[in-house]
Amino acid sequence: MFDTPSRHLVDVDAIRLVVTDLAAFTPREGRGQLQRVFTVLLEPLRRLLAIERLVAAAEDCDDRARRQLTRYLITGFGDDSRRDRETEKRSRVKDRRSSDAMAGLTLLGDRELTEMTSALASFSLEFGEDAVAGAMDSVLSLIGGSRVIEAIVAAHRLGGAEVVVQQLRGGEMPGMPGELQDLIGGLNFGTGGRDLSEFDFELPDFGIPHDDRDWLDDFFDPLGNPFGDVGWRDPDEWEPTPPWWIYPRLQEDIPPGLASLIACIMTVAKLVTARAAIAPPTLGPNARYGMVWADQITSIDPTAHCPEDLLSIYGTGLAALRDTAVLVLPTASGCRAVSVQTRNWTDTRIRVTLPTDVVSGPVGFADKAYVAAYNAWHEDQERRLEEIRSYRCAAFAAGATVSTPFSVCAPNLGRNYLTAGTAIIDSFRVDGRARVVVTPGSSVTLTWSARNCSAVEVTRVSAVGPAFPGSVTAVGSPIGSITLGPFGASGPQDASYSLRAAGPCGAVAATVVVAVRKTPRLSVAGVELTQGIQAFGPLSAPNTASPLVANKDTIARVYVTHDLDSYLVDGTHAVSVSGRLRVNGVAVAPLNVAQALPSVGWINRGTTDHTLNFRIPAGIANGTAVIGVTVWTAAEFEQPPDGELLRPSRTSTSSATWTTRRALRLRYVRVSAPGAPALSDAACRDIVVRAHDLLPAPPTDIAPARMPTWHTSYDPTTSDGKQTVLDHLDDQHDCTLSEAIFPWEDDCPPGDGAIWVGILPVSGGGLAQSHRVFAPGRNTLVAQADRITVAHEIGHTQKLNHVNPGVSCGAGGPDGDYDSLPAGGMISAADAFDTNAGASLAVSGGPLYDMMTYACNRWISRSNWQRLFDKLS
Amino acid sequence: MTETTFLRFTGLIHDDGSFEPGVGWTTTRIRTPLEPNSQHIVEVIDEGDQVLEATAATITVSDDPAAAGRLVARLVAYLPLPDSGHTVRLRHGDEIVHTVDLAPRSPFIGQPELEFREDQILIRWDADHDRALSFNVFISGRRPSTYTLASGLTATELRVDVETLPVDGECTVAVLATDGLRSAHAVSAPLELPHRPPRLTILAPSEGQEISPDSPITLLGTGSFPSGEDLSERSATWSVDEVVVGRGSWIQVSEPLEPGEHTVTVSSDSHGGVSASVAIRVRERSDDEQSWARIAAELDPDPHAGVTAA
Repeated sequence: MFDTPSRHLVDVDAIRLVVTDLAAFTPREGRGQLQRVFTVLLEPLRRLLAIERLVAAAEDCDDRARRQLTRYLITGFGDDSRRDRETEKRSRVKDRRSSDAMAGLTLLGDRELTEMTSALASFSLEFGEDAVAGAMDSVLSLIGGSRVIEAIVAAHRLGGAEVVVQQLRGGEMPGMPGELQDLIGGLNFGTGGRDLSEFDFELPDFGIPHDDRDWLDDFFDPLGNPFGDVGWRDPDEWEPTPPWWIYPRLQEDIPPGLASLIACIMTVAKLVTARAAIAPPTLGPNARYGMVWADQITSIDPTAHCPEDLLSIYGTGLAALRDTAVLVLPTASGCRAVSVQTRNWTDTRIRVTLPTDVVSGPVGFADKAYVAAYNAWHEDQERRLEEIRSYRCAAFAAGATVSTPFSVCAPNLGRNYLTAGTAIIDSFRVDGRARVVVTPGSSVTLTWSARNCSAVEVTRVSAVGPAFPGSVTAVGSPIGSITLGPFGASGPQDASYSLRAAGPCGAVAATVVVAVRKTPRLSVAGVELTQGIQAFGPLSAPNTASPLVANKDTIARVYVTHDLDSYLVDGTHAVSVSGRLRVNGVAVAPLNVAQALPSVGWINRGTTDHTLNFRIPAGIANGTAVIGVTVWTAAEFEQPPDGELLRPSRTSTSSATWTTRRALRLRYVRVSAPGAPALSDAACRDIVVRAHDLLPAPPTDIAPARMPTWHTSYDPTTSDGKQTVLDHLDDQHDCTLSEAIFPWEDDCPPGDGAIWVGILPVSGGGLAQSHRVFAPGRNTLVAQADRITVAHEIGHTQKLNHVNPGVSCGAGGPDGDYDSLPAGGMISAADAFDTNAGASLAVSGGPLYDMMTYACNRWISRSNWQRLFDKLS
Repeated sequence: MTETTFLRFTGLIHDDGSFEPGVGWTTTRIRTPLEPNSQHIVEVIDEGDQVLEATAATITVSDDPAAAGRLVARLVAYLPLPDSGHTVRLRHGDEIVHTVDLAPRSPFIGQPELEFREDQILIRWDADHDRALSFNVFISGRRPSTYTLASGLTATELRVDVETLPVDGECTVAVLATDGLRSAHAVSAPLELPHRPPRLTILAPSEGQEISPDSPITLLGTGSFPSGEDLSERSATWSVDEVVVGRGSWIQVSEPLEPGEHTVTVSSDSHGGVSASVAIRVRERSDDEQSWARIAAELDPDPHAGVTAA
């Protein structure tokens, strides 16, 4: 849609969003005026884009662009006659404090603006300081002018089109000149809120050629084609006169420090140009032998190879050179002049200690005066560069090249060639890096460049990674490359390769690393919602098995898979994952760190950590809710090629429905017996609450009974004692013994509609009225302090009979009548989940049976969950 | 018209035919007439072995396995108890299963004395009989409802916590003294118990519960009067660290609490104001959880905040 030279200098998308929204607010007859207003408001940005494009083209030696830019620099981008002199003064202040210069600019890109300004400054220096100042003022004016559209976009971000319209109507936009207010005052926004697509309008005719392009495209053409379609922009029709963006009021809105930054850039550009204008010295007319030579040398000592070795250079007429020449020796950074003591410089021999960075190369002489002059020039360049770098905006100082001291070598005459120094490895790279990250199956290229050696050795030093044909070592020339691959795919590998280069005085080595990495892509294969027991069949249809009860803690088990297949992370197929769940927007943290596995088939529901588990609290577990889950890997994974760390994530959304079921009205009685004090109120309450971990009912109607404690003199560990306690409690509850002892006992205790739960202070199981023929009321039970026993007895009160799977935990089996359940009441352990503990109930000690059995390991089965669910409707 | 005194005769019949006597008593009212269903006959006979009264017993059979595999049946019979009654006999057909002599006269029991001490009531009574007695203690409030405080006592006093009583305001205490057959009862003078406010109970979170950071929590509670009636859930106000977060029997605090100690309180202004509190602790984030929070903020920003009332 846009063909702008830069998509970054101006945030076009933000402006487009505003215009689109405002257009929807504007009736057809008002859109022409809206278009005109925005074209005017966008003019400063259009001009900034024009400058950016021209500067870029000028740097690429586009003569047409250079001419246009030159013309604008001479005439000004704004209006020279209206230039704000205060701004000009401000621009010339040398200010090195330019931090936060861009504060407040949201539509203009920081980096792009400063780069464009720097390039403009460099270009304008050709026309003198006035041109630089003029260019700077123009840029500042345009930035100031952009503050109006900045304010509009900010208002839109704040409150949408309505706020923009409100502010435009009220003339509240900061920095709005009177002329613009007049222009905007004519806007007709109508009542607003209509969809742009409703309108079948024609392009308004303001003397602008009509074409078939999209209306919004046309609207933004000033941005997209700054210097194209000039007929589209008729200044008489479209621009207020004079250009409104240089008004002082607008300039006051320029962000603090921006003028200083631009001034800094201008100054640095000037310093760079001045430095570049100083050329290195030329060889003087008195240089008898030229810049470098070696004619007087007849031989050199072949035994000196290493730093600190004493090198003897033999020749004839050497003494005559002592005052006008300097000795130059080959070093790693070129041939450098070295000082020689007078006594070591005779007519036939020069003796010199080899410097630490000596390398092989020709030994010779250089003109002493020229070397001195060149090095003085170099020092001056260094000083100037140091000054440039002292500016905080020096990062924008393009063209400030680094100079070096004198480093020209004498010609190689053979007899003056020194063989010395260690080898130098200038580079050893794998795919251009010292360490590269690749995916399994990839190949890489090793490249190297060494000096001061005749050959190099490349060796695979790690145990993993491709080797060379027939060997882990290959020999090559000092400059070369080799391709290796493919790299293994079984897991993360770090393959190391070293380059060894041997020179006349020792060897050096460098190493590169190829890190083989694979990043998992995560998938949310499904979400299982369980309140204790659940089947999880088709992944596309969770919640179709055991129904969910409203206002009851729910565990969401998120099934996460990855695509690593046989690639092993940390030696296993599992990838540790975490995540966050949202239930209608409420965020929930996970209970565990889970293992993402290669496929659903790998997931064992009996293993808690094979799913990422969340506890949805009872308060938000109701109605129909949107379940959103975002999962991510616990670890970050290195990405090719440079090892940037990435944490893969995946978001998935589903829904869930909780069905309202009545709460069991439970009232607990703390029973004490001889030698066995009653449990605390909190302990008894907690046991009754926890019994709901097995029941399809919300634990919302639990309280102490009106007779909160009961002391019995019977032994509740015996069957008869338990029965007696049960009878007594029931007598308190609803007088089932029914003997009228006293005249006032015509009324039994008022019915409370509750089930009384006597919590025994000792072990011994429980007893309920459901199948106890002595007590047909079915609303009282006693049980040891154990959630499963309590749930079992509550089951009896809801007319659940025992289930007889043929197993029992201890002597005796359950009494009948029996209920018949699938699989004899055996439960798939993978289906059972303890919502309180947040863990699977897969029991290692044996199979799991329904809570209405007498088995050792009990939980509620799906069958009885469904039966109770139906009973509690 | 003279009231008839009935004897409540009860016990257990085991599968070997033996009889285990239970605790019976005399009464002038039978609330629920029994439906005799067995060939077990209970007889009251005089000193001359003449049968004065006889009735078939009601038997209910239990196959409770907890009774160590025995077949057990409970036997209950009501029959008039004439003054000349001397012996009670249980007969199954021609077989005399059980015989027990009645005491010559009913037990004596004096009016219970009630002493209110701090949060307890001390109930004391005098009793006399030529056989061992056991006592059942009852309390009755303003409304004609009677609750048993204790049964099978052998001592002649009982302490009860006022807090545990199902009644408040004016109440009376009755004591039944029985030797297993003959009984007597006495009723105390009225006692004014302090009126007790409804009781609030916090079901979730539990006292001392440690909560993971970044977890939304549900506050859940109930309220009831000493008589067992419910308190209106509308009167419940929830607060966390004294900042009100909602009203109702439950609320969802969707914004996770900051790590540290917190006090969750539910209160009601009714009946002079009551409240209940639990202390909970939100755990500090572990290093892993801090890492989780940082990643979550990056990958899944905009956490929900706020409180949803029920």
